Amino acid sequence: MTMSDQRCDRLQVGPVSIELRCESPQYARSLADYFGRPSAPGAPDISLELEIVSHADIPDIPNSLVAGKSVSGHGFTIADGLITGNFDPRSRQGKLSVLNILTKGQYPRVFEQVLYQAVQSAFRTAGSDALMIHSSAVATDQGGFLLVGASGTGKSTVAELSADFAVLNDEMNLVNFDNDPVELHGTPFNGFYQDKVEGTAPLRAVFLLAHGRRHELAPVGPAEAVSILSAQICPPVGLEDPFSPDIRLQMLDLAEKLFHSVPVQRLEFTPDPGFWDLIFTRFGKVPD
Amino acid sequence: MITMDSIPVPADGFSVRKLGEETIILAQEGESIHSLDEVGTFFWETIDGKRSLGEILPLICAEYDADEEIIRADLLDFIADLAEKGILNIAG
Repeated sequence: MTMSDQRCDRLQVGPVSIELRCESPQYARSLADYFGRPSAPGAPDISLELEIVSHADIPDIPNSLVAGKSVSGHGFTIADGLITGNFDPRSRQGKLSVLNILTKGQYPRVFEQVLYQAVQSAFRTAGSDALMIHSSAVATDQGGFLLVGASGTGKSTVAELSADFAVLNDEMNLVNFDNDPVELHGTPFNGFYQDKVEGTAPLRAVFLLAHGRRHELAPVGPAEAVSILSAQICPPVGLEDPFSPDIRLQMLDLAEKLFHSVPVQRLEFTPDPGFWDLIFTRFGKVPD
Repeated sequence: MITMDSIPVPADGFSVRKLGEETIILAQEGESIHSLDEVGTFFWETIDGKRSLGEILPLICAEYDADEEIIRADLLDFIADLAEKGILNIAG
């Protein structure tokens, strides 16, 4: 491994790889520790120099790094300078300058949002037909299952209740439409579940989560399903993109695509793992 | 107050998408998104910005085999809900 490689952390996110070129090997290792996986081998789809910037003032930290973004040429500014940078889709190279506060406390999860944008850029450069969605994902012998819901609907709870299986992630997962069957991938991005595993599985079904008095699987109409899914889909905004109102229509398109790819049902559950019996009764046999 | 003489008018600033027999109404700004099932979609498609609720009611009654008073109440609830969400403006 060259000295240059030691300063790099490569994140494999489904079919794409993002390289972060850090100021030091130590920082690259700390990133690998944060994401809970070693740097991915192979050539990245995009490469970003990562600069951590010291600052005296304490800025406001927004919840979303998408809406507060301005773009000029290849350069962008997010949240009044919380993150600045540039990205050239042709060279697939860029730079992120990040205020130090985003590396501390709970704020790395805000910083991850700019990496979501890097993933979207990587999808584009790699020609990948994929989406990311706020969700829990579990891989079983019967395939992969995506569990979707807004904050508070129980994504992390179902992850905890699925410890007998491979929990890929309880925060952000990836659906790759490039192949048949459609693939479900975990991502390195951090939720609350600590024991996530790297992995992929053929996507069998999507469940829209709701707390209930008993475990129940129920059909859900297309409009309601697509509405719920679209609200959880990671905006397809790349580093080079400004935020535009059309993005929500694109999210609707992606939600519709997901809805038409696999069965989508509502899963009402109580805080015990018995809902897996329902799921396997319904989806127990892998189709030919 | 919404009455049967009221005319519901779709508000600006929303995108409407049909999915099979159902409908999604998406705010062009903000995060509002609203789904209509098959019945709600039929109700929605009777709204042309010119018909009063009194003119819409018989259209729905012709489609659905239910008591007119029940349909009237459902229609008023439907319109009130969409008006509250800003998806419909009420004229007259």
